[in-house]
Amino acid sequence: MDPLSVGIIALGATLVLLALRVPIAAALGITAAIGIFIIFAWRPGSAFTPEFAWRPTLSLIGNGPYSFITGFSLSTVPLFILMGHLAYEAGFTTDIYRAARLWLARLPGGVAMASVVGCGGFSAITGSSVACAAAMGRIAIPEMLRFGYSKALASGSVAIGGTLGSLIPPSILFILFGVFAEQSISALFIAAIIPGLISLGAYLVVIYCWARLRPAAAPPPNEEIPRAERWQALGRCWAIVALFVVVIGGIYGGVFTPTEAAGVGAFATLALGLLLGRLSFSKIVAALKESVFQSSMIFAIAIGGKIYVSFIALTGLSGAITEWITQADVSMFMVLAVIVLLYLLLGMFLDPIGIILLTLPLTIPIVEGYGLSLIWFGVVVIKLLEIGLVTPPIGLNVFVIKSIVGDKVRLETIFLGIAAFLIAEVFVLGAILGLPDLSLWLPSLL
Amino acid sequence: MKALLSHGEKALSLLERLALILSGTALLIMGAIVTASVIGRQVANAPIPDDLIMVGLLMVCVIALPLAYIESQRGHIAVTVTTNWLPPRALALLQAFGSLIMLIFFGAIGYMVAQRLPREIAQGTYYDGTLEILTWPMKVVFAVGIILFAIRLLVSIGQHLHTAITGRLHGRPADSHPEEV
Repeated sequence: MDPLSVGIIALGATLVLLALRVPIAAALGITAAIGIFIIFAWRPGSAFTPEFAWRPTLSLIGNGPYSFITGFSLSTVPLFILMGHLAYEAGFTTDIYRAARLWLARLPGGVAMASVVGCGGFSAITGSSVACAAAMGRIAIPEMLRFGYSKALASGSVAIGGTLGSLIPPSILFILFGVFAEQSISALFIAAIIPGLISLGAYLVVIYCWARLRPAAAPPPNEEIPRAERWQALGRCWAIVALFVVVIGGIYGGVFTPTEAAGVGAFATLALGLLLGRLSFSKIVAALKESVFQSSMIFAIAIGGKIYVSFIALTGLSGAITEWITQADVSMFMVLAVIVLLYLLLGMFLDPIGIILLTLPLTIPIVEGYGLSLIWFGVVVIKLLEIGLVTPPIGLNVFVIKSIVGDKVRLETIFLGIAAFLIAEVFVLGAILGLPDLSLWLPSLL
Repeated sequence: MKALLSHGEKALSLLERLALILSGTALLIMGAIVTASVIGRQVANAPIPDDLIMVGLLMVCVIALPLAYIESQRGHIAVTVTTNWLPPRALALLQAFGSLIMLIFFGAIGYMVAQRLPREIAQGTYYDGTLEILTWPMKVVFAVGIILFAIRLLVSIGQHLHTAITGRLHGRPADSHPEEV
């Protein structure tokens, strides 16, 4: 059987399995394993001979996943996750939010702005959007509701702010992209800084406009905040600034690699939390438990994805698509538009890690074929995945916020709150797509 | 029979929690090794020997050992939006199917890794490095993690089938769902 046909059938089978509620890890892994078996057992022009297929298939299953998880570069993922959880348990997240709140309180929509700025600050030490939304949601949403903010603005601003978690470095999605696309993780991290800050700025503009147009949605807090208290709150953020400087400064100062940065960052957070008396034994245990839970869950998918990537390479599917595009003389813009739509569509139903592992084997050769930068493409992909985190029907961040607010805010209200921010996302995405220098300028300085 | 199953479930939960503790400890050690190695390299130009190998190997504990616990919490990510409209019995059947696919896939990985263990133990194969770290101990940990996961998946399949047949949830709150995406 032609490997290309096997690839196309397997792609369809994967989607069917996913729709049938098979966990993503297994859906990717089992279709890839069966596909590899068929390719070796049923070579073009030959009869079906399974004895040819057992050895290569089992060898790939036996060697691939174990070698994959023992690779040093991927140890970054659990260590960055741990860093974020330790920072949350130590209350560093609350510090950023509180400082932002006290300083921005007087601006229209200031408390919502503080939530977004808090998300941006927390993003600098955590690599996960969901963790960011969850951490900030627990702190900021009850406070916004207490100040009489509209439920849509309160929940929507945190859900969208949480997406900064994967855009502002460090980021787990960028690490996975870097590993699977064989790109420099340092370059990806630094490339995302400007797009991340532009996104943050765009969210603040939306909140400002929202509060100006509908003042009842964001009543100004009736409180007098002494100047000393504001400076004091800002001063308390030194720990988070120090951690960011240690991690990012260490990477770009050449003191350690991005992989080592995760370990140093996690340990520095632990040390700082203990020194400041803000981490008890139970808090450390809670952070460790959450970290290994999330890491194992992510890697279960990545193991399936790893085999899937090898399988797609074996089918020659990505090469065939590239060739078809070349022959059809489709313009680069058209191809990019299709890729953007593909990611937006998948983002509505699948989780970001699953999408990355499912699509990269197909999209990377196409993008490379047009001579486009994979660093820039990485930023585009992560931005699209972040949008997918807040778009209906399945917006992971929205579900996280819903789990925090319970019955106080309806799911539809959260999605409604996000709608205004999605308009801003269109402009931000357009800027990232149309002006690659926004992503490539900082890496070019390295 | 019921008492036996209950004791078995308790023992499994205990083992899963133990695995989770080991996993968390391994993560902490990973951070310590990396930090000590960076400090050693910067201060005394003496990083911890074989630090990359050790950290990579500890990843096995972090990844493989919690798999069973995650399954017990229905934490493995699945797409639920396409099937949420189904009646509970049909849903349980699909969940049993999903767990079975997980069992086949991860079981095959575990089996292939475990199959090579006797030879590696007999030959005493080790990683190329200063400390000549043996290859098999972490493969044993990996196999243990997968075995634990496989047992939990079997339990899950049994529970889902029970629900599919009787229409009653087995030992779980009615609102428990897999991680939704």
